[in-house]
Amino acid sequence: MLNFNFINDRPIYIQLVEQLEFYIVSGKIPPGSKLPSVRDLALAAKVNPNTMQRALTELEDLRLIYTERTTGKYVTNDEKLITKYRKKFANAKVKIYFNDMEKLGFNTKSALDYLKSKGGIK
Amino acid sequence: MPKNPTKSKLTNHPPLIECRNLSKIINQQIILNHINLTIPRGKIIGLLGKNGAGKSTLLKTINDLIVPTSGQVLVNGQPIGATSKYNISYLPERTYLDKTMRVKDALKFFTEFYNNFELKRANRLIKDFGLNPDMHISHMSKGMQEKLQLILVMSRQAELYILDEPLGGIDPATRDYILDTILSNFTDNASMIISTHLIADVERILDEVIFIDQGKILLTASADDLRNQHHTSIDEIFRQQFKH
Amino acid sequence: MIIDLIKYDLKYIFKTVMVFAILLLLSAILHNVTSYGYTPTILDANGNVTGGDPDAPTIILFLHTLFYNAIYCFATGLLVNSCMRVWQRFKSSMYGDEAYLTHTLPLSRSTLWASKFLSILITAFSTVLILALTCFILNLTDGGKYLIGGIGISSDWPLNNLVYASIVFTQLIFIMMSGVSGIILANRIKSCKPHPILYGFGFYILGSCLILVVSQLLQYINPDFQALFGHTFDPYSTYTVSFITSILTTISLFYTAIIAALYIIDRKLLRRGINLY
Repeated sequence: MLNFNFINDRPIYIQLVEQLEFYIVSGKIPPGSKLPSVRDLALAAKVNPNTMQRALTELEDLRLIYTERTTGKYVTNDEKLITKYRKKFANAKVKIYFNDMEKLGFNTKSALDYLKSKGGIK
Repeated sequence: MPKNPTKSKLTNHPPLIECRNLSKIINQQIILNHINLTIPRGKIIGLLGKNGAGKSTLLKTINDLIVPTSGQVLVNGQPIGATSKYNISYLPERTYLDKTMRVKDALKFFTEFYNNFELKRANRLIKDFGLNPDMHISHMSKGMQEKLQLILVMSRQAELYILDEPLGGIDPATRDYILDTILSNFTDNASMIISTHLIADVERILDEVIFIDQGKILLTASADDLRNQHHTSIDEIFRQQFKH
Repeated sequence: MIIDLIKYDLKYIFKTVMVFAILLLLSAILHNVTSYGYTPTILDANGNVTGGDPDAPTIILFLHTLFYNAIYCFATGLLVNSCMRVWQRFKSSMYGDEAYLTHTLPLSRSTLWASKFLSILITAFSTVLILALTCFILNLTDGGKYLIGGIGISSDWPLNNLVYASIVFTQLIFIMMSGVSGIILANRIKSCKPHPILYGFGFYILGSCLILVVSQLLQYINPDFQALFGHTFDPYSTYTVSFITSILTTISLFYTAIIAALYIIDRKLLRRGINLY
């Protein structure tokens, strides 16, 4: 089942967009699958339906979901698009890694070497 | 006077609530100061302010429990009356139930007086909250009484729900459950006004917030827009706004 | 919906009124039971007791006296309690915590007020009914007849009794309405606690004075009132039934007029709104 975590410091709808985006690119919500109704999603996320609607509209603008007028909302089938967004998440993770490692005194090359050496961490 | 006031037409033109130049003076103190306010449909609105800011007085005025010194309140474009009371479900801060009644007597009361009271929903909520229908209200703890009143209010199919400090006597563990109950029983196109100073608990379900201080409206804005603007929570914005 | 409102009002009021009613009726019945063979004691010219019934056992005489006094106690209690409960119910449902529920019900203030008035009518009527029933029970024995004869009720003059009942009925409503009007006025002017009682008394005294004044004025047009105030009748003679009936009926009508006036004034006051601070 979908889990959501929010902090009050940032707009809720933006956090919803990010978390739904993540579930889509990670495949937890498979491509082409039908989304639950706005109301049900809002209840699952424990947010206001209006806020959920705003988030879904954003996702629609990003083309990650689309609305079929009579049947509801669906995740896109566009694999290329999903891969693009997946890479976006991955890039963000990498950026965080290198930034944090720099604060610990590792430059880019040594951080990369460190990562390679620790590559198989369980 | 019709026995069952018909539900007012949900036209988009008159706002759900409109306060025009609303003022109230009590014992020579200005409690409400020329308030101009509209409440739209389909939104959950937080009415936030310090104690004594005028929140309860404003809500009581909308519910015909206080007479304005000047100005007026319009509900769906009409003055307050039997129809507006039919469409508004109000949860005051205090216990208003006859304490000699049992829980099931209170349900019967609401069924008799409100055609838009959904007994099935109420019974389900009573079970969910673990309340005993045969129990006397006077034997219930304050927290249980508040839960019962919340159930009665939420079981009505109204256009506007007004909750004055709904989380006051409730322990933190139950607060989340109550917020979930409020959300799941919230019908489309109805609006809700929640007045509270437990902002951090409640802010995530708010569409809009109204800050009120000394009887004046300081700001009305969408919650997420405020978060975007100030890069912090509504709770924090409130604290900064009302710092001494 | 008015019926539901009245139902809840009466439930509250009759919780205690019912107790007094039952005690009163019981006392009357037991009074009758213990007054077997009662004959009034007769004093001869020298003040010696002749006649009477010395054969009744002491315990019966004791109980008889007990129930005799109990009747007076419970009758008074019934009257007082019915007023107090009406006022308590009005105050708590219109201005207490329960008022938050009452005034958010989907009905107009006029409807609400009409239901309160009807509750008062029904309560007063029931009280008078219970008292009449008590008199009826007492009328079944000589001792009881003696008791109610002392306050002017006799089965010889049924019309008189009816007028008597209507006077008590209208007076009772007038008292209840005065108290209620006091509560309403006190909230309109200020939400102070001692004021309702003062205002209530004020209404009562005002109304009573009004009745007195109108009655005085009436002596110029009505021969019966002329006789009453002009002392041109012999108070020690048995005056005609029609005389008493005419005076008491007219006074009942006056009270009814005052009650109607209070009803209208209170409705106007309530429609201006209430304040629950």
